[in-house]
Amino acid sequence: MKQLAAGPLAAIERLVAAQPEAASVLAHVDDLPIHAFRFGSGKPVLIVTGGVHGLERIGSEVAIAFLGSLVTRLAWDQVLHDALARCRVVVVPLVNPVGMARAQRANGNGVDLMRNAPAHPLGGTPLLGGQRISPRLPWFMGAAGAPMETEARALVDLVEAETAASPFALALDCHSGFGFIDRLWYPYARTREPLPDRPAIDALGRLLDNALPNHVYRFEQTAQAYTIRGDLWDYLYDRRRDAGGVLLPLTLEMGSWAWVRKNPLQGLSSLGRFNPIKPHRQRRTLRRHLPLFEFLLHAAASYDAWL
Amino acid sequence: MMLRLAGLALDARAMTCRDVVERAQSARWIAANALATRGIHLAVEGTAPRGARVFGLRATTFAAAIAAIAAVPVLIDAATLPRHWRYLLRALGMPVLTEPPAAAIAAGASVLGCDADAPCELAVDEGWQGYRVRIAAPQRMLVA
Repeated sequence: MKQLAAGPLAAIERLVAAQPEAASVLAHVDDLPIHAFRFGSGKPVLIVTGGVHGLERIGSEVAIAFLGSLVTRLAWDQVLHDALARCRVVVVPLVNPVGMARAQRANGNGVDLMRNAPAHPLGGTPLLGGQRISPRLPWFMGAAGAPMETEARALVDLVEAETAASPFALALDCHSGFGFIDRLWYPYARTREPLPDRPAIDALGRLLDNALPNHVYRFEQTAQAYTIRGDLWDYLYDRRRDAGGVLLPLTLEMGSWAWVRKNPLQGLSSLGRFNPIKPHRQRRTLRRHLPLFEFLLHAAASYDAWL
Repeated sequence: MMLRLAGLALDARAMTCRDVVERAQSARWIAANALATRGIHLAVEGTAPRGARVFGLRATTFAAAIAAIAAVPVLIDAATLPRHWRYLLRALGMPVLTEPPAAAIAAGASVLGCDADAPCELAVDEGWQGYRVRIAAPQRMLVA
């Protein structure tokens, strides 16, 4: 199975070898590790995750590209060291290694990890927004009353531990799929009602527009596309807010339909519907989002100047 | 916006709640989402009195009525509404009162209707930013 996840896992293990002191293993699922990397010593934190859905390999690869850039720049980039003295960066490039190995959206138990949090009773587009009918169908939330899956629990524990003593946290979860354009989604996913931290999200959106003029992202609430029950980031956002902290979780949803439009034959394969297949398109995707990561790192490090 | 409203109507129909309190909460969720879909801001003045009761609706437009439902979990008594509002509520998939108001109140759900004699009211004003819903409980009404 490890060989099936060879691309992302091999790249992650090379980075572990390059920066062993920054790496740790959150959990093992079917003998496959969930790696996390920590850099920096500041209080605000930027958390980057990828590979929550095993089919969305490009999400993991984009996170690994950012991680690789960080690791190589640590050797010479004093500006990066200064930024990391002001904030921390935590990267979990592959949350669902079993899903990635089996080239399936869900984890090994057939559970969609992004719908696996304790669900709010209201909201959720039928089927797509989470279902409890069967793990054989997509978007399975897990059995009612069952504990969270190992991968989801590991991610929740990590985010809560990293944000506990942090006055401000940003998170970026990398996915691909919905639509022709790249979107940056913010909570809530379960309802279209504005989140309590709407002014902070608006400020971040304005900052993005000003710092990266002509950027490619549509900045919108997740639920404007469809509503999701049991969204992990809704859950984490609410818990952090209840604890008196600020966590602004964003989801990078890369519009994979654009890749299928350019290369319709790739739509015939499950991986092709969610990932760029042509090498030049993959390289373009990997470099396209690096300015966003850089922006978020700087926004987290200087949060008190704009929040 | 029409696509988003259609999506909301789909979400609303997926909420198969039987309990009256859950239906009232679903109605509030659907109304709040309908406003959010259209980018309408909602401000609520006052807090709802404890316990289930009948609220009178003071609203001049359908969107204002939706704002009132979004402010407090209530089941709307559709029989007291203009006919075209009833059709719009049905299109939106909004749960409405299907039992006698007294039964719903006994089960713990508040009821909203265009009843001039209701002791509590939800009065909706339209501002330039959106809607302002004032919850007028008996004590507040006496002071006024």
